[in-house]
Amino acid sequence: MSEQLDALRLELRRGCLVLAVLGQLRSEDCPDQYGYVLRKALADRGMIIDENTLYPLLRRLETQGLLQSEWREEEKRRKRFYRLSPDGEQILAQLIEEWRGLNASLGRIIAPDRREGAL
Amino acid sequence: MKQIDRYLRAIKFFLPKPQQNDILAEISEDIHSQLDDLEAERGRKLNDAEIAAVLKKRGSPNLVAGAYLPQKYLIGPAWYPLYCWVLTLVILLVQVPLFVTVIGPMNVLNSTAILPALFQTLGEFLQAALVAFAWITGIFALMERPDLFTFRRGKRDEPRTSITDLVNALSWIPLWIYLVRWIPRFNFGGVHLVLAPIWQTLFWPVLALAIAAAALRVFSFLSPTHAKFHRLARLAVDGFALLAIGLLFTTSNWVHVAAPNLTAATEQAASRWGNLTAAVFLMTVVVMIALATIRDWRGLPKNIQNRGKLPPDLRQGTIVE
Repeated sequence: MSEQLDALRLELRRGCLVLAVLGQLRSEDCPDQYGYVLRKALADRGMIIDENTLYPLLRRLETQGLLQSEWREEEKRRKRFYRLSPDGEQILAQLIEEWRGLNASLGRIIAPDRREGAL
Repeated sequence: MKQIDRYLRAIKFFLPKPQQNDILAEISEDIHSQLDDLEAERGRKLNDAEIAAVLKKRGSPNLVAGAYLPQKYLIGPAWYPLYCWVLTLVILLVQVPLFVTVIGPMNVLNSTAILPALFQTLGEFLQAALVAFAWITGIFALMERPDLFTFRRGKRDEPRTSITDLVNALSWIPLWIYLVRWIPRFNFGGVHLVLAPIWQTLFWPVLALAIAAAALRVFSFLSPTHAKFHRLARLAVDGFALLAIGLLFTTSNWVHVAAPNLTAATEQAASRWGNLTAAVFLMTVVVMIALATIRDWRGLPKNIQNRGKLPPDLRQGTIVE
């Protein structure tokens, strides 16, 4: 039962990761971040993401033209900084709309008062 | 830090060459950032065991590298059901009956003791099944590579002619050559199968029909239009195929077992087995062709109605030129 729940939870979260990563990179206080900092920032906000998931995802989003990256030196180490591309900004805005719609629909579907009504 | 270098070298082995250095630099940076954080948190340098624990938590090198690679299957979900079907067809519905009805009895008849003959048959069957498995798996693994099929128009999973039809049509050519030209050459431990002359008489016409049927299926597979033409041509080919089988049924002695080492009675018994197998095979073929003919005949009015139109699955933007 717990394994089944874990698998379902993973599946549910997987769909949100792109939105979370793009959303985090939109933050005005830190518009470009390197992988480790991005992962920590996401974890601080409750979205824990494995490094083996985050880095391939960042590459995929960059290949799709939603992110841009550059190697820069910081604290005597070369780090790869990611930022949203103009296309990424647009797609993120559309994804947020989509997310709000889904969230509202799900909210109506799984709302407690609906279940009580059905009973 | 040697551990980290070893870990990164192991990951490098699994990565595609053009991206190796870029990916490794990023992973390396992430590991060092993580170690820096842990050291700051604990107020001291990490020892080897702690570094090893950090690396272990990240996962094995092949797992880490695998996350960067495109997901690949030897035989993916699109082909897997057909792969299972072909394996079942070849091994359970062709090889098992062949070994049970022909090769097994031959080995038993040709042997003085039953048990060794049965073991020999089992060994030969396992060998044949393994070869069939390897070939079928190899062919499907090749089909899994989409770059080999870029010439196709339309979606792979929405073909005008199904893959099943295509494989079925193509399989008749080697099967016919195997039956008529190869089986008589086999020597099953001093036992020969001699086919009646009618098989040789019909060899080239039937081979031509099989090639025509396969060519039609390939053409229909590649070009989803001209459905009416395909159906009419297939009906003609099926008609000729039924005619050829009708000619084969002018005799009931399709096969004779020649075994100089055996008694005449044993030879006769083996021949009866062979003819029974041939009769079952021919009747199965008749049923298959008849079903295909009925299907094509029933679909013909629809093709006439939709003449010149693309099939529904290819009408809206799915054609890749």
